[in-house]
This record gives sequence, C-alpha cells and structure tokens, in this order.
Amino acid sequence: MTVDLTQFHDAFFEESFEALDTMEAALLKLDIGAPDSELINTIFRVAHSIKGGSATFGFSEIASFTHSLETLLDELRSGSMPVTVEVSDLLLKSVDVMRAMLRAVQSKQPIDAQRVSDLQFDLEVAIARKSEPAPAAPGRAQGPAIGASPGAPQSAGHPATVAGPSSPAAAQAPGWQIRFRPFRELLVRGNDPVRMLRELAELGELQVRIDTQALPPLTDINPQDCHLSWTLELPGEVAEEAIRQVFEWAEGDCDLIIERAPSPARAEPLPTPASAADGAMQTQANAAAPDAPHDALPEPAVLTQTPPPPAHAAPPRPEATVSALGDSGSIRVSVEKIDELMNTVGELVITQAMLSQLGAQIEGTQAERLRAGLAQLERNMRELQESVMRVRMLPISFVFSRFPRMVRDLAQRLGKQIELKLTGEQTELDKTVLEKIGDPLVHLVRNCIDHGIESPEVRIAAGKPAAGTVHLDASHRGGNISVEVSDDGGGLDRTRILAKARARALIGANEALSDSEIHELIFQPGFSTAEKTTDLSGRGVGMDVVRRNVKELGGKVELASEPGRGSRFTITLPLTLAIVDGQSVAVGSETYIVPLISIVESMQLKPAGVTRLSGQGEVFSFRGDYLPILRLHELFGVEPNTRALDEGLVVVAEGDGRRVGLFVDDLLGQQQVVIKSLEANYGHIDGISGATILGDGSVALILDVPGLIRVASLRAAA
Amino acid sequence: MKSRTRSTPARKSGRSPAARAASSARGRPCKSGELALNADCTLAEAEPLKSSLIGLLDEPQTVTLDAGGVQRIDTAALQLLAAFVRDRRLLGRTTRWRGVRQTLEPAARLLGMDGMLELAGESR
Repeated sequence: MTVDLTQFHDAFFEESFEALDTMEAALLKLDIGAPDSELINTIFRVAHSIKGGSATFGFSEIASFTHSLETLLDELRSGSMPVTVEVSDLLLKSVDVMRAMLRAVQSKQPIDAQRVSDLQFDLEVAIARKSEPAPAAPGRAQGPAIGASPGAPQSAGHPATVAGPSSPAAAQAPGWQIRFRPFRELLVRGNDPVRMLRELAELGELQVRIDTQALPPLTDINPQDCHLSWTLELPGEVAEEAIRQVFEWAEGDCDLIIERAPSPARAEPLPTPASAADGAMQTQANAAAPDAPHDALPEPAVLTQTPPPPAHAAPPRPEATVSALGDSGSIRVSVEKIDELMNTVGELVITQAMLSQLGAQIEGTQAERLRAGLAQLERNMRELQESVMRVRMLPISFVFSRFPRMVRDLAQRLGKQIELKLTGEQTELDKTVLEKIGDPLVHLVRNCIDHGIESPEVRIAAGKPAAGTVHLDASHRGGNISVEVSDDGGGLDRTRILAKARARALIGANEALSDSEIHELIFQPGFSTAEKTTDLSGRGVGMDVVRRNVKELGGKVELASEPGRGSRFTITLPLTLAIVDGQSVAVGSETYIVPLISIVESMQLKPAGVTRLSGQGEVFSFRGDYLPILRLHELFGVEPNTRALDEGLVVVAEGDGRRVGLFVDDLLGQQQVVIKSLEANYGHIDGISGATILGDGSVALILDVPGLIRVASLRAAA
Repeated sequence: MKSRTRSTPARKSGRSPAARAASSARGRPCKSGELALNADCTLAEAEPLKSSLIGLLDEPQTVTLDAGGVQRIDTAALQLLAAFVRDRRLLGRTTRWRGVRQTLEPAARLLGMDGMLELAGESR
C-alpha cells in the first residue's frame, strides 16, 4: 500500500519553519570561541530533522544542502572545528537559505539554485579548511579536538580552558598531560580538587576535562565520596615538580599520571574516556590572582572577564528532548477550526444578549428565576468567550524572536553597536493581530537603528555608552495590548523634520508647530529625512505604512521623543480582532458603535462655544484647541432626533493624531460587541470598520474614526 | 494546552520527611521549585544539601537554584549539584541557576563542570 505523503507536507513545513526559528535563536546565542555544546546540539538536531524530513518527502535539494550543513555542524559538535565569526555567519546564512528553499518548495516555486549552490560551496570549503590551523584570535581558546559520537552517553563533561598567567612560551612548549583519578576518600581526607585545579591554573592555561561517568544517581551518592576524575592539559614550560607539588597532599588518595603532552598543536583527541563525550564545550576563565589565598575563591573582578554564558539551551540528550515534547500535551489545530468556534461563540453572545433583553421585560412568578438563569448564562458565556479567545492567543515572543537576528545584522551593516532588550515577551495576543503587527514593528526597529541610534563615536562624544539600546516591550493595559519600541538615540531631529516639511510644502514657511504636530509629520506618506535612500530606510514608505497597518488592526501609534535622549513609539492594539469594546450612540433610529479606544471624552456643548468658519464647517473649543464637529446624521444621511448642538451630545474622538467632535443624539451604553466584517458580507464603506448585531437583533455599524475624519475632510473640500 | 492541575510533589507532602526537615534548617527553599543554597556549600554541609536536592528532584516545574548567597563551595557540593542537574535532565525536567557568577561558576569552571551544570541557563 502506498501512502500519500503530500498530506504530511503542511506539518513538515510548519515544523521546519519553527525548527529554523529555534536554530536561528540558538545561533545568535552561540558564543564565538566558547560555544555551548548544548546549543550546538540543538542546532545540529534541527538540521538533522530537516534533512530527514526533506529526504523522506523527496525534496532532494533541501536534503543535499542540509547534508553539507550537518557535516559542518558535526565538526563543530565534535570540537574539531572552532566556532568563529565566519562560521557563525555562514550558519545564519544557511538558515536563510533553508527558509527560502522551504518556502519555494511549499509554494511550488523554483528554488534559487545559484544561491543554494554558492552557500553549499562555502560550507564545503569551510569543512575542508578545518584541518588548517585556524587564525587564533587573542583570548579565544582553541581547544582540543574531542571525538564525539552522537549517541554516546553523557559520561564525561566538557573541556574547559582555565587561563593562568600565560607567557609567549606557553603557546609553543609541549606542556603536560595530567590524569587525575581521585579515590573515593579523597574529599574526606581534606583534599578539594577545586583548590588543586586552581593552583594548577596558576601555572598556565589549563585545559580541564572532567569525567563524570562514575557519578551515580543523586539518590545513591555518598556525599563524602569523590566520584569524579579529570584529564588535564597544562601547556608551556612548567616544571614537573611544580605540578607534583599541587598534588602533594593527595598522594595516596588518587591515581596520578603526569606525562608530556603528545603535541603542542591540540588537534588530536585526548586519550581519555572523555572522548566519548556527547559534545565539546570550551570555556575560558581566568584563574584567581596568584596571590589569592588558597582557600578563597577567585576574585569577582577577575570573573568579569569571562564571556557571558549563553542563554539557557534545550536539554542535550535526545531522549530528554523527546520526553519534554511528549509532556507538553499540546495539539495542532487548524486556525479555521478555531475561527469557526469563535464565530459560533460570537453568535451565542448575540443570542444571549437578546435573551437577556427579553428576560428583563418579562414579568410574573417565573421571571426572577429566569433572570437568575440568564445572569448565569451571561457569566458562562463570558468565560466561554474568553477561553476561546485564549486559544487563539500566542505570546508576542513569536514576533520578537525575529529581532535579535535583524538587529545583529543591521548593526553590523551600519557599524553601530546596539543592544537589544526584549521584555514582556510572554504577553499574549490574538494570532491574527500577532501576524499583522510583525511588519510595523520591523519598520519601527529599523527606524530606531537607522535614524535613532547614533554611531559609537557620536554617542561617546555625547557622553553616552558606545552601544545604543533598542528596547521592545509588550504589556497588557486594560483591554488592550501595548507594544513599545524605544531607543536611547538622538531623538527626532525637529529642525530637519521642519525643514523637510517646508521643502515639501507640507507646512507653510512660517508656520510654527508644536512637538506633537512635528511628530505627526513623520507619519505623512512619502516623508523621510534620510539624506540618502538605503535599503533600510529613507524611501519614506515607513511610518505612514506603520500607522496604516496598526490602524487596520484597530490600534494606534503614539510617539514621544526627547532630543538627545531617544524616542519611544507606543503601539496600542486591541487584544483581538473579533470583539471590540464600544460605546453605542444613537442617531435618530440608528445605533452606531464608537470603539472605546478612539474616544477621548463625551460632552454637551453650549451654543456659545461653537463657531462657524466659512468653508470649514463648525468648530468648538476643546481644551485650548478648536475641533471640527462632524454631524453623524449628515454623514450617514439619517434623520436625527435633534439638530441643535446643545440638545445632543458630542463625542470627542481621535484618529490618525487628529481629534474631532462627533455629534450624536444620545449615548446608549458601553458594551463588548462581536465584529462582523462588512467587507466579507457586503463591501467596504469609508468610515465604517464593521458591523455588529445588537441584543434586540438589529444591526449596528461600527465607526472607523480615522476613516470618518478623512470622509469629512473630503466632503468639506468638495 | 498545558494541564493546569499538574501535581507538584515538592509543594505537597510527597516530599520526604528528611528533605522537609533538612530544608527547614539548611538550604532554604524560598518557594516551590526554588532552592537558595547555603553560604557554606562544603563537604560538612553536603548531607543536608543532598536531602534538599532529592526533595526537588521530581519537581515537575523548573527548579531554580539560587547560588547568590554561596560564599564557599567545594567539589563535594558541586558533585551533588551536577548529579542533581543531570538526573533532572534525564527526567526531562529543567533546572535554572541564579547568582552563580560570584562563587559557584568560577569553581565549576575550574572543575570543567560548568557545561554539565548548565550554568548557561542562569535566569536573569
């Protein structure tokens, strides 16, 4: 029986893309020169599983490329090839190429064969070169090669380089290999390997490999016994006597073999059980200052020189990973199914609202019980709605995860030093919102790096640290999610923005603008202060697109900037696109919903506060500003209950940084409404973002405030 | 979806009496899944440390070991910690570190044990 493999393609692509994200994240955490073997294992596993999958499905180009990648990774994993900047770049490029190949295969497009074969060639060259001595960067340990086999038990630990006061001779002299096998009673006899190895590290650049094969399970350990042993390498001209002295007190409590190291070029595996290690890890640390007392531990000041440890990595053992995956207890569900569920829940919410309204009008002996039941139904409905919404929620880390790579690449290209800070990554939001927020955020982060953060020289001259900080933060605020992109760069350049705006005749030559009005200018289509167009920014298609995208999600973008201190963009978004918090307003017999996010306040106007301007309609004074009045009944052609401004109410609403007063008959109440797409069911109408069904079964239109403002200004101009 | 009602033995009485007794005196467990190591992590204190660690071995949630208060640490204690981290990893559980920079990490590096202890996973 043949199995139709195409049914598994989607799952394969989905998992492969996720795996590539994991791989990319692991690559970015990889410390050059001192890679974490667990990270390398994670990366290796990704390549391996993609290779396996693509071979199974007959995607031979991907399988072939991944094979080369896997070979290179295997060299890194075994420690026979150091992780250099070049290798790290090569691997990141491989992620890009694999992503591109998967996308091409997924959309049944041809693969960019030239790009693939170029990179594959580079990979193979890198592998072929591994036998050549790599240019050792100062301070980077070129560790011994450790033969590795993927399935080997974790019997031994990782080699570490512990650098002591090194001399130039240390690099050439053959040095010593020390095999140190303590007996069980070594510890109770008052010997502590920590102290002994620290003394050794003072003699030279000590390579440490621990053997933990004999370490029993925690429950079986006698804490008094020593179950560890070590193989050490001490290069350079060190007197054997000096080494023996270190072990003097342990004599009789350990097996000790001190012999000349086989070769100064540490390219061969150490002849120890450690060769069976599942990976190699080299770390470098400076030992304690020579004058440190023997029972004290290394000085913190020295420790600051150690490279920062890479972030937590996945468990190295395949079985541990499998069990972790098995434990997670999650299932893949198609988005359509969830949307269907969401839709049904939306209908239920409407039905429930209808019943509640009906229940309120019923009288009689059973009415009280009915109302109690309805109240219960309402509570349950709300819970059900929240649960279904939660199913669609994903942490924003899905979007944030792309930034470390992007920032690294951009900073490299622009010659800037940038530290990316991510906080609130676990903040959850609707999957649809999440998908659409990615591009605007990319624009903003690019802007921060390109325009905001200054070059290291400029920063130092301004008394700031050379490395600028770009901070992405997500948090829940009320029923909304707020995403902030801030930098500690130069802030918006008012003068340049004004000059540019005058040059483009966006503002009059002598027009004075407030800060917020100047900020508003950068959101104008085609506006850019960049002197030359790069592929990063300067084409002026950035900020207006950001605002439009965010607006499409029912959100808004705000900007705060301080010269010399940096700027902060705040995107406020609804948690979901399915439900909106709205204020229902009455105009004649119609009900409209104004999204609460757009409302500044509602007020009753006094006739004296209203001025009629020729050609610009009516305006009213609001906190030192004059806002135009939009009469909704005129805009929508509805017969209102009143046309007198002092008899109705004005809802001050904000959109695209502009405020208007919406004149309505009355405010009806605030409620959560389920959004029904007008575009899907009818067609697009300017000024309307959707519709909803009210408790009495009637349809109410949901207002799109920025759209309304546009419509009104077009009409005024006409 | 993650189950909300996973049992957490360390929080309940499933923990061994020895572990509970030990943790009250030594290596103060701040809250479930967390253990603050004593200032003196040496051979003399290894037995109670072992009991505390065994009490957390089966903790399904991530266990955070706080080494911020450690002033002295020796091979006996590091050996127990290494076995603990390894055994938890074999159970598919994760262990994180806090405050290792000052004392624990330098000692672990000297022994070549930093990789096995997964010190790279220090939480910030």
